[in-house]
Amino acid sequence: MSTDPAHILPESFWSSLSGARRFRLNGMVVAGSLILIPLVLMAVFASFLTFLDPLSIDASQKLLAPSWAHPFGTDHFGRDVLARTMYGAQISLRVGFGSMLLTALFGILFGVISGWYNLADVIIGRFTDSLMIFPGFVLAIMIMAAIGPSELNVIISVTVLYIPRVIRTVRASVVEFRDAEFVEAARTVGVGDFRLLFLHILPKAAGPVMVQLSFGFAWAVLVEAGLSFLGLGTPPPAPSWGSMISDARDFIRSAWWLITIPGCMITLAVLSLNLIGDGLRDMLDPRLQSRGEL
Amino acid sequence: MIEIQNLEVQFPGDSGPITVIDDLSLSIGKGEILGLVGESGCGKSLLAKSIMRLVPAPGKITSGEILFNGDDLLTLDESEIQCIRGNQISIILQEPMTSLNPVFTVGNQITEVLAIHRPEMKKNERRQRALDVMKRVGIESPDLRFDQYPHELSGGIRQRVLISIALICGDVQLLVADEPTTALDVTIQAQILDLFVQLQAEHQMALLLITHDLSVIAQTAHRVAVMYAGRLVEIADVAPLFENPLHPYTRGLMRSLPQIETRPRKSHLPTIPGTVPNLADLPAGCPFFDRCEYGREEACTSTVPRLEEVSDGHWVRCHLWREIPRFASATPTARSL
Amino acid sequence: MTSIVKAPVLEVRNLVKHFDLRRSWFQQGTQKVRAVDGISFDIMAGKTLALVGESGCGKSTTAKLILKLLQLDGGEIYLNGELVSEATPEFRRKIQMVFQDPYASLTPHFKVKSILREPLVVHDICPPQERQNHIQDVLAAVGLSSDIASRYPHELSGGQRQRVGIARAISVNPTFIVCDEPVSALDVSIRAQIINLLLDLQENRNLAYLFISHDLDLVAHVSDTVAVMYLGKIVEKAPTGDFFAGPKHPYSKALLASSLVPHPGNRKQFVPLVGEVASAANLPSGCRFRTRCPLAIDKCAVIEPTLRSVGNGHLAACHRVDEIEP
Repeated sequence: MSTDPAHILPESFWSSLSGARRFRLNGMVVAGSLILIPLVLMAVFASFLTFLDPLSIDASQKLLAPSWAHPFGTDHFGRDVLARTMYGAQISLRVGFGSMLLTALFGILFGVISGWYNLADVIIGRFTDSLMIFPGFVLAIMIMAAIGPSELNVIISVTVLYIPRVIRTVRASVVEFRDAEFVEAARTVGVGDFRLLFLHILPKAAGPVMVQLSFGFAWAVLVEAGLSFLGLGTPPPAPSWGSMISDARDFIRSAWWLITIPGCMITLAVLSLNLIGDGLRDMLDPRLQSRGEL
Repeated sequence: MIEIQNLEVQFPGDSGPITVIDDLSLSIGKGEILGLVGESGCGKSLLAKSIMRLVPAPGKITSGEILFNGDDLLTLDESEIQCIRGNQISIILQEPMTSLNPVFTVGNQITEVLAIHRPEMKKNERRQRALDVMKRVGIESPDLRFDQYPHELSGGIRQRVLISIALICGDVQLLVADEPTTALDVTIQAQILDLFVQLQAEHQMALLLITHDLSVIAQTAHRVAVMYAGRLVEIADVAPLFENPLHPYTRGLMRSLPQIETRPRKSHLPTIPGTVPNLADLPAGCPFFDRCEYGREEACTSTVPRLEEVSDGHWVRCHLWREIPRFASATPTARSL
Repeated sequence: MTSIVKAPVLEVRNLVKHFDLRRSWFQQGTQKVRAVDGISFDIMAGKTLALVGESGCGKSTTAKLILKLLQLDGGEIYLNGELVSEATPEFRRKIQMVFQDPYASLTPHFKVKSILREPLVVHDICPPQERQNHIQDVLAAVGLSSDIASRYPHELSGGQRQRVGIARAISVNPTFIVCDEPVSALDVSIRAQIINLLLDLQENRNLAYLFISHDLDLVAHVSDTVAVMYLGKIVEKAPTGDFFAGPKHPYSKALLASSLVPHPGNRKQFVPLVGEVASAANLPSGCRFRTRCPLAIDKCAVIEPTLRSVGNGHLAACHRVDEIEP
């Protein structure tokens, strides 16, 4: 018998209580999704929502204030800011999604290997440690400087930067459940390593990995914007939010919309993804729940 | 000494509050060992926590009183109850492995209680006092153990350390022990139970011994209370209870024990069918009805039975106790050795 | 079923398992914990051998060695007369386990039907279209209704979970099951149900059990032979009836004296045994039990006693076994 609260009350009572809570959508996840979904729709349907080309230059239209024709105004080349913002969302989300897909793929692979084989653990462990000692953004700048600015390279550098966290998360779950009694039980029935790992153990890591990936997504958006701001990310004239802000620096006093709008978009995207990540974490860890209720 | 009257503890549930302890009245006299038996989830550990006013949130004591030497513990304010906790009333929890803090030495954890309740004592006086108590509870070479960490000790010694913590203040009047031997091996269990009986007689304290193990009760308690689904279903002195248990649940428990002398090997054990009911969804009437071999539809499903006094000091919560045949217990003889 | 020669289902010979214990960063070398130190026993079809002892005596390690969850450091295991060298699928089919904790031993994100289907898939036991029926049959055999199949373990009571664990074990038609404290995590009123189920299954399927428990009353009820372990060795082995009528080893006597009788009529003095079990990493010389033994003499510190017959298939490892009155 243990001091587990389940022993104070019949377990059916606890499962009805905590089970229902666990799968009730967390307020923060809902709020984050309400912000994120319009952003995603905007990116996906950018070409239907505006007929204006984000790249077409028209000197006669430059630096126009927001109006019906150009709701977010135009920039110093006369390009429509609304169109650029929408297509910019495409870049941000593509970088975020692409890098997190790669991170998940390789992170889970290396995490599993690291948690399962002791020798691999030593090697992969040192590798992740050495990646994590660099301040993230500085390492991103170094990688981009080495491999040159392009959208794909941004995805690669974000992946390299973020992968240690996912590796560690997966490894922690594998190590935690590797000797669990249900794993031992499956082994006595004759279940092999592969099936054990992928059916019995990995699903236990799915939650924590999801949390990591939603934070990673937010971080990827931020890094892409930062690199593009510095001219190391998505190269011009692609309408990355970061390079839009960079271009707008010269016009802060004359054309406020140029810097405000991409700035707001970055904020909203990062905020929504962080809300989702926090919410997911609270749903997975009921002890933090009281803080998670909106 | 301590008198619990009509205690009710509730937890909030999805559809209204769930009554986890219902209409519980109990008293323990000076120098008495009361054994409290029940299965997990019957509310026995929660009762221990209620006495210490440590009901875990979001649970709440919703009515009743707990009189300790005439004062109602439930109306005391937080500082007054803290004065009593660990001083006049002590609790020993079930897991000797997790009840001690792994980062402090044993001595540290024993003297901490003194630092709270006897702030006037000097440090070396506290140490001396702790060493005395440790010796009294049978810890060998206490001055060595004093500076050790919990992980360096075996389960039996840890349990003794917990007992020292409970006794260190010197004027414990009520000791609550929640499954104190469940995690221990049989030979160590015997040592610890012996210690309890001995200490209890020495200090004339009241002991509330909570367990699921009927043999522990049979061997130590003076009086026995049986709990089922948050309610007391039977209270009696230990001899009459084991001689002729009246509540069908108590009977079921006793019958289902494998006993060396009374049953042919590999024969079927008598069982209590079904499982413990969900407290959030108790049936009307007697909560034991659908597992009960004597139950009758018309009598048992309409009203919840009340605790009735059957004979002097023997109380039972059953509508049908008058009709239940005498318990055929084949009293096992002392184990032949 | 006409078996001409009655051979044991499981034979265990001189099983040894030593764990290395690293002392600390600064000390050289390692220390050996002799968790299981040369134990042997046989189990016949339809019979139960109970392994009794206190925590740390090596009984769970023995179970894991037999199940090939741990590598042997010495000794042999024969299943149906054949030497077991590695855990082949065939071996895994023949030998199964019922775990102590029904809360921890079922994969939490699997529904009951997935838990029960898995052994069928892994061993390719019956064609996919018949698996559904097989699962229903197994559930019925352990006394569960078929609607349980679509539930998750956390939706079941402790007793139901343990039944699912038993169902998983019998679904591959094993000949031998290790029951590691199968009821000690269950509520008292549920225990008898599970014990009855195990007894029924044994009778119907002629199963051999290795029954690990610390509850002597239970052991007396379910077993045919009792083996008492102390610090990695079997100190006494006897037919159940003989054992409970008159244990020979001082440790067995103490164990029996410590176990409490559920009746207040014959209260007794406790504390048949002082002190605690010695550390398996630092064994006493000679007899392992001598540090707690009331009968220890000088010889016990020098020569380690071996199991010897005291009549009627009753073995005990004690130098003074002849002086112990029955």
